[in-house]
Amino acid sequence: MQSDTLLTLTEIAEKTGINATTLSKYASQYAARIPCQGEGRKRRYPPEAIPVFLKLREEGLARKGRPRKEPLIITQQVFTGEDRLLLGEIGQALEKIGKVLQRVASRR
Amino acid sequence: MPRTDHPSVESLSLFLAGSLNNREECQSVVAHLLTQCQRCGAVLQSFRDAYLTSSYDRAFSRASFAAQLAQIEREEQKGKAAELWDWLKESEHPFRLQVVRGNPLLQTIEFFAHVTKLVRIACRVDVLYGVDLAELALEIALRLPEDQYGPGLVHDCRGQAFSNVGMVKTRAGDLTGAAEALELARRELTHGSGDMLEDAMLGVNTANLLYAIGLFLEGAALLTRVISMFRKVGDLKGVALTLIQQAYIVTHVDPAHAIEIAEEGLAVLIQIDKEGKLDIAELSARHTLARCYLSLGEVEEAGSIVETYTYLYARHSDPQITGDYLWLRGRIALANQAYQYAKRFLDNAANTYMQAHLYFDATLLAIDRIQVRLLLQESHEAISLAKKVGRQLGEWGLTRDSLQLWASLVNAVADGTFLTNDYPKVISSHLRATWIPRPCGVKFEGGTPSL
Repeated sequence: MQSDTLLTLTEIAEKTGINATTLSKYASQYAARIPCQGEGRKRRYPPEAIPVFLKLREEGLARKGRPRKEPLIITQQVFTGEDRLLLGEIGQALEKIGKVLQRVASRR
Repeated sequence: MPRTDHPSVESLSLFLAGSLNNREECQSVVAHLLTQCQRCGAVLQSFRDAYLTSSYDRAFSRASFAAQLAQIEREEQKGKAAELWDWLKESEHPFRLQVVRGNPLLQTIEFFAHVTKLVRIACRVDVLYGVDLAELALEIALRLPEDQYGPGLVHDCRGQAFSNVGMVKTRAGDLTGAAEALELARRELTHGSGDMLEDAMLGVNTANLLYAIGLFLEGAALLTRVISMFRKVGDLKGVALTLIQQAYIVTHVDPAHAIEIAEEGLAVLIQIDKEGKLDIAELSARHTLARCYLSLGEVEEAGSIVETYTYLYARHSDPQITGDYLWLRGRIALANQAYQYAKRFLDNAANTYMQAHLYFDATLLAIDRIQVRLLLQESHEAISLAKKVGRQLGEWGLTRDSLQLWASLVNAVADGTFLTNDYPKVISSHLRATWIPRPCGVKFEGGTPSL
């Protein structure tokens, strides 16, 4: 799927109009999302990477101005009482599912 | 691993008591224990109880050592679980069940966790194999000794095991079996430790079943509750994945709203997953966005998303994802009136689904395949395909109404009114609500059917 032409970030900056520093930031932040070849200074990008960079900029612009929440510490918590209401709601959903499936089975 | 340089019994004894003052010797004992040496592990085991009850001196160092020892034991058990699975994996499913029922060595948390981990991977490749593994994990969970692990943990494991059986049976189209398993999961978790993550996963699996029978709004509402639970404990990964799942469901009722949810899910995902480890979730969100744009008539945007993220589809080339990708490409080509391309994509998608036993998807896809044949003026081929699917639905034991509805579709294809009616929507929602194929695990005689 990838073509033979490989581009540097500067060349991608010329083609996309995105600042090279921003591209470099995208390349390090979202390394796994951007198709590339080589490591470090020898890293080059196939033309397929261009739409990905453009999409990242689009998303970056869309997020501008929105409040960013700090990631919270992920902990496993154990609940009792009202926090287990979900199990009750699951029970009600399963009852509904049971009725639908019963209705279907009776029509077989 | 060299086993000749075992620490002396005296060194081990002093180490356990926290009295080994020589730093280098202490490091060498730790390094040796980390090789999981069974002999020294056994020696320490024999000392441990005596030390833990002997006095309160150095209680902290002894407790931390006990934790370290427990960790070594756990790692050993994990290694054993992997070895046991290597030995068992080539056997037939009934034999595996029999071995698990009769062998306490296999009735451990570690072996349960090992098989459970394999369930999700397996059902992406072959959903019926996924059902086998989920049932095997359940057999293990049902035999976990409560006196060893404690009742709370054992009920949690059983709840998780039933929940996974429900998840894979939903994917395999055995909706009645899935509903029974999920109800049993709920009962087990009621008696469990109260681990909210298990409750949340059961919520997600139940929402998927609601989706499968066409109760989209109910499924989305249940996921809202799950999301708020994840938010409450700060599990952003759970929030992101559940938002993306919710967007997928909402696509069927309100594509514009689904776009908002998918984008919110993506924003959270990108915030927590800088390295792209969860790129399968990103793919799901991108796929949902493309479907929504296509539903809203924004074909170019949908096509651009699929083109941009083709590399992600290629990275996760299991049958469900590949089939979904080909189907979407086919529908985009259909909307662009590139009917020959559409036909090729849709037929490839059908083969992909059928080979992986994803019959429900293959049946819904057949409606688009009939449509493209009619648009290509290949009405003879369209009628033949419609009849073939009808016969297969009869063999799968679908309801009389479904078969009648399909028969009316065959007539509409034959008399040329199919394209002017809203058949795709009506039939897909009806099939979704009445889909009860044969029980899971029962393979089709004469191999996999073709549609």
